[in-house]
Amino acid sequence: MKNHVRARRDDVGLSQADLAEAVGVTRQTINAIERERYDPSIELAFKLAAFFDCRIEDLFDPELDAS
Amino acid sequence: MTQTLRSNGGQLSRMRRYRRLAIGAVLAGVAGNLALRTLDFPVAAEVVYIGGFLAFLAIWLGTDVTLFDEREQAIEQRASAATLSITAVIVVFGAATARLFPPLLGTTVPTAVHYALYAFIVQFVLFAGVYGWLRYRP
Repeated sequence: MKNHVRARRDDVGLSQADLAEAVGVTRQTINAIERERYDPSIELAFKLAAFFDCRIEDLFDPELDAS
Repeated sequence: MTQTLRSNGGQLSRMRRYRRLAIGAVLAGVAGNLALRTLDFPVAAEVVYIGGFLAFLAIWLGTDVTLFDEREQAIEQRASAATLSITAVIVVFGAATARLFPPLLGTTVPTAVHYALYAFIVQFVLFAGVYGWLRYRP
């Protein structure tokens, strides 16, 4: 699924490891999400959205993936 | 944001620590088993071996720590499904081949192959039971 996790993370100047620590997953999971090789669960998507203080729709864009 | 970073950071480092502990317990059990068998203590060897796995189960099931994150669990599920599919192909074609050996080649396949195929079939029966339980449990 297309997402803006990398862009959001860069905006706040965090490493993948920092973000992983913040949402309670491994750094490899954050890397896989950013490379669109893994779609997170609803729970993790909510955690990421809460962390970046935005809506899930602002972070993930399934329509872009379909096109 | 910083507060979230701190509170969840502890959770992740705890997961790593418990995972190392769990895997270490299994490895220690296997290493201890090999060492004690070499020293001719067969009963103690098996006690240590089983103890290693029990320690793993205690850490895995007896604590509130999630040892593997959601992506690792998803990978494990995909690997399990792929393994089951491969096993199904082996059972279907292996059984047919084993049955054709006597009439076509005038020989039988080794008994060990038959046992292996039966073991695979038992695995599928077990799978059906677990699937049914998960599917129809209240």
